[in-house]
Amino acid sequence: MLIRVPSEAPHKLHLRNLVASCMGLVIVAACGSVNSASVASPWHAVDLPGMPSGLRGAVYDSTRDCLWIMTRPLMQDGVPVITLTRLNVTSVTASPTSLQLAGQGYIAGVIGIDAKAKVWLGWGTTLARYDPVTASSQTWQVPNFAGQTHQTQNPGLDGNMVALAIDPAGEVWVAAYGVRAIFGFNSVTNSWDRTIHLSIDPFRGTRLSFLQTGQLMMNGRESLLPSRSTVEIINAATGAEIGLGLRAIDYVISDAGHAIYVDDSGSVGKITLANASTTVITGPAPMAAEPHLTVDPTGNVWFSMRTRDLVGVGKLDVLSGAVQPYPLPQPPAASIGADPACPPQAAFGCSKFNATLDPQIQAVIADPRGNVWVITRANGSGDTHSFSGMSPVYELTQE
Amino acid sequence: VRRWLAGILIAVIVAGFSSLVPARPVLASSCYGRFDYAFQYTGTVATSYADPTCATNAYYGWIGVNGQIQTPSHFPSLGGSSSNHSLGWLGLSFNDPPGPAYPLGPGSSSWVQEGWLAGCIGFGGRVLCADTSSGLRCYDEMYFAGLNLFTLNPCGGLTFNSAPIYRMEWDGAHCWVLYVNYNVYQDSMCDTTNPPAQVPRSGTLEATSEIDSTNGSPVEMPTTIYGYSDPNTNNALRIRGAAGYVPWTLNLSTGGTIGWDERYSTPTTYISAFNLCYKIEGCGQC
Repeated sequence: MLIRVPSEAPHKLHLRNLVASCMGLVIVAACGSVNSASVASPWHAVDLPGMPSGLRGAVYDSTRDCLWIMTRPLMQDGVPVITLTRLNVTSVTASPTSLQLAGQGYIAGVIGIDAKAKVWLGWGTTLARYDPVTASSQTWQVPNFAGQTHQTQNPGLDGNMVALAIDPAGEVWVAAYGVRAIFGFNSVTNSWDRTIHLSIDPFRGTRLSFLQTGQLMMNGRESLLPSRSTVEIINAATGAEIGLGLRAIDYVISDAGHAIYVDDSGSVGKITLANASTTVITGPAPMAAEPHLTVDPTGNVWFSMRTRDLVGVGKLDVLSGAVQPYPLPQPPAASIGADPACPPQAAFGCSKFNATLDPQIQAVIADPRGNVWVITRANGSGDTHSFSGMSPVYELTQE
Repeated sequence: VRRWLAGILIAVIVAGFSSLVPARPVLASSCYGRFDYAFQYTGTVATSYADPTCATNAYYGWIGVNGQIQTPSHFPSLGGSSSNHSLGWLGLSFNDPPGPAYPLGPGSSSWVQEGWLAGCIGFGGRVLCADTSSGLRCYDEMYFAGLNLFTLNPCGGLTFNSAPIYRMEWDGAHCWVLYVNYNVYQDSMCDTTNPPAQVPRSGTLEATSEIDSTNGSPVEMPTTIYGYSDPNTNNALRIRGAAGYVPWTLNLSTGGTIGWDERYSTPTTYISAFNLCYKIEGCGQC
């Protein structure tokens, strides 16, 4: 059952979850002090019933008007699995798919939709295709990275997929952490048929895009020590790279001719793709380390925001440079009387802990109606051993 | 003279770590309120302390730690309240400027940790629990003082006497990255740009048995073994410095190792070594 909470009562879901969780834990008595007199929030909390906490990635499917959300929880003895959930955005109903695959190597939520409306997912060295019509999936392994791995000092990160882009011909391009190349998978012949060597290192925040000009665009690191990010345009036919510098940690294609980037100081600018010229839009904005940039139908850029005692998203008006913050609602301050696991250096304070909960935003998506969807790491309802006063999905509707 | 000093140092550590030292008359635990610990951490000196002498002289210059934690053989007694907890974890504590003060105490610097859980941990709106129906659970927890943000995530169930390898390390750029089962990515704590809030670049390493009694009843600290007898494996406690990972032995390039427990207090806890300092155990009445 999906729970959609109207904006007039943003904490109803929290109360319901809290009571359910506390009953499961048989510590109802400890749950008395819930503050329900909270300020109205523009957010709608959306449940993913039965879904455990996990790393996530998400994409909007225009054919079906839904979000596809991949989740990587860890199961017994730390075994990682990949699951896929469909969230219809008009009815706000969530339904899990039957997809469940071994999730070794997942470090970033890599997911896309091809021109035939099939869902592509990537993690580790696995590329998977899910057909929503037949509810079937198929997987392939990325070619051997031997001789191409630039960084070898991060076991657990190196060589694991971080980005994916699909061109109109059905070529699925992928990039992997620390591997100075991108690889093309021909979805017609189901074979890896392209490798383009690069001069930059993909990292967990890397985004790969296919441009209408037939080129690819990707951000990465051009040096590790000191860490310096860049973005470049790649000729898919020749492999030629046009480095734009900009110290860009993320970017998003805003329209056919432009991209918006954010640099490592949080400053935002616009790139004109035709001539690679750039314009600064605004000075530092309160970006998270992984900004998850997205563009709404009116051209506003949304980003994941993370600053002192505040987690949410920000809306950037690219014309004026104005930033409007939308903090996610924090759960009630007191619930079950448990303390954090607490290092001795902090132990005096842990029984009166007073921090802000970070649900760890995993994706930010704007749908064609301008509604903004925020995917977090929180669990859905139904896990009596894991109570989160925050939701796995939040919807911010345009008034 | 150097050899003599080293001999004294080793003798002090061995004496401090040995669980064969006869217990002194019981004193009330005084260092950490209702939390009780037995732990080993990197220090500016090599020594051992016991409550009521509180842990001090931490050395914050390390950039990673890994090693296995062998879970207990049974589900520990939680003193009649699932709000209590009993834990075994590996982690780093940092020396960055503390977050805001708590109502009844000073603020805390940042930390990251992961390990096994019995009972409940969390605060406010986020609670993770393990009881006899779920069995032991794996968790990771992080607090970033620069932004006063807290995260708590599960990482699956754990069987008794299992020995998963945990690893936490600096990625060389902007993040602390946490893994379970050695190379399964679990979490990260990263810089933000505006306002500039850099996560600390190095910290003190800790292998810790922890109990917390919210109702005053005794909570069991079962035997937990940290590390492995072969120091040249990823199972052993290993520490990462500028030159990469090395076994966590008595001979560190900087500073030493400190053991801290409550062998003279109630509840009684012990930290003791099989192999200084890459295989140790923490426990209560043992």
